[in-house]
Amino acid sequence: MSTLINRSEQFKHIELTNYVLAALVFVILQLSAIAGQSLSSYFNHQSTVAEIKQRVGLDTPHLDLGNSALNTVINESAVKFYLDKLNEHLIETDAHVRVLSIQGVTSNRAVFPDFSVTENQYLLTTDQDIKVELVHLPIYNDWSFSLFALFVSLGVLLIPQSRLESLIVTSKATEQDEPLKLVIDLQNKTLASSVTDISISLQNKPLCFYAALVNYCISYPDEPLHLHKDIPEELVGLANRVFARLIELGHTKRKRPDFNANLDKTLSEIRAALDEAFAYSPIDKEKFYPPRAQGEGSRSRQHSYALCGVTKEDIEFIGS
Amino acid sequence: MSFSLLNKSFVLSIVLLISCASFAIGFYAKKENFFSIPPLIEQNSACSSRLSDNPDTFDVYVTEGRIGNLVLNALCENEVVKRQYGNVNLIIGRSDYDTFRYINHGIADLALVKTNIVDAFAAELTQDLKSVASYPDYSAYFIALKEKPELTKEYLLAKRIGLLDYPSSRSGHIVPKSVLQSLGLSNENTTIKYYNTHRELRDMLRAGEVDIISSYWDTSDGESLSRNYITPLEEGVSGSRWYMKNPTRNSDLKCALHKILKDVSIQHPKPYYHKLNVTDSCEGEVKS
Repeated sequence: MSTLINRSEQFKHIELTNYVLAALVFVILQLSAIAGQSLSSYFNHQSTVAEIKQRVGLDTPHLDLGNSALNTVINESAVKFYLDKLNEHLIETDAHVRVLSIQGVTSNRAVFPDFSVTENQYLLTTDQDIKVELVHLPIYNDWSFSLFALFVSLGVLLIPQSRLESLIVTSKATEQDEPLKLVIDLQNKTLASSVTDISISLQNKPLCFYAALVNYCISYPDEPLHLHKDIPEELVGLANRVFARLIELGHTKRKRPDFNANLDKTLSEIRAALDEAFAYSPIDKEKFYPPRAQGEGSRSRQHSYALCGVTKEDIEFIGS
Repeated sequence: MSFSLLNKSFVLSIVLLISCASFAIGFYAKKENFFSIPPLIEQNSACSSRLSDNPDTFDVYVTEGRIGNLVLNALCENEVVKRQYGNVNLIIGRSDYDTFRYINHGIADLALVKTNIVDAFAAELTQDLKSVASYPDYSAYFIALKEKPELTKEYLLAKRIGLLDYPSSRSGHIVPKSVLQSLGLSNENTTIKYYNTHRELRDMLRAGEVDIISSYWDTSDGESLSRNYITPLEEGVSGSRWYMKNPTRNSDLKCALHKILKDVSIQHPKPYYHKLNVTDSCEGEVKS
């Protein structure tokens, strides 16, 4: 019963995710379409205004517009007749601009309630400026519903849920910083940082011992490891097991080494490899680094080479 | 990690690509090709079909559209015109500048214009334009609405006077301005308002925009104005005339035009145009 309820909840969640994503896609695409429509509308407007200005400019010599400098008056009836003819042509061609007046003279027929945006243009001649008052439709008049946006967002609804979730999960995962890990690769006998992917090769003995040390410290986080004492049997056992794995992987046929012998040298080789692997982020290597003995008490009985704070999540084994 | 980054970039690229596609579809869906606006002021008209293959065109210039169209129709039907020309081109002038260009550049073969324009540029000599018919002389008047205008400086100083702003108009501009000048009145010390047509002058007088207008007296004016309230400025102002290019050399056409102009003038709704006087009448000449 509870499984059924869970599935139902999951189903609701899936539906919600699908619809939200489809809505988001629709909004993005509709906005893109509106941007395209607006730009197109702007270009159309500019070219229409240029055509109107050119026509009026060319007709000006035949249009009795008067001239205050010459004490002549505008022939209003001729200008009104001209305005009506010009607007008739603009209506026939479905232009989004109308001419409201020329030199302040408007026609009784020049009433365009939908054309709410006014714009003044000026034709400059040698002896007078001719004012042409235009009206045009607001830019949002050209905005329309995008079928493309609708079909694509419907397409999003058809994407299989598993695919969708993997996309979302992947996307979320990539949004967060990935935790740093130490990669111990037994197949290639290398140590590497998961961030830099710089791999450092190690000899069989230090590699086996370090792999075992990591596992041991994860299992016994509070157990100190002293140089003046023999290596604990559990640690030796772990090291032997790793060595056996190396034999299986075909890296060696020799008998297993004595991990108690030359422990200092083994640890030095491990530290050198870690230094190289974490050369670009020395701070990050701390929890993977077998502590050195410091100062006078380097041979101190308290010194432990156990790894402090390392956890299972910090390590990635390859080929174990 | 590489896979994740690749996946994220892929998804972003797809979103960007589809957004661009949506933008482009929106752009081209609204893109319009706005064709250029053709000339809207029609000055010229011609016969409905060519009269013959003759490339010559008979150009007629008038400033009054109604009489122009009557003449055009008659010319397109006339046998002499059909024989001599391939088409008739009627030009309706809208300003003194048009008249100047079409007359003094020798474009018009037949023109209805005022004598003062032809005389001003000696077009009779330079273009061989000769008068073939004329309308009667008329008088120019100051016309008022409520009183008879006086031709005194004191009276006119306080009045708003409406004139035509065409310098070539005799009754509406030349005659009243010369009267005002003779009385020592000018634009500086009188209120002169300019209008474009005789009809507009009458409308403004009735609307109270001006106190006096200067114009001719039309028989229809009696309906809205009083003949008692007009004062003559000058009598014998010469009427408009029909001028023809080279009439002495092309007598067939001249005689044909006499007949056409007489017929057309009678059809005009204004009685003034009915009284056409032809020059060198063709009556008695052998018909071609």
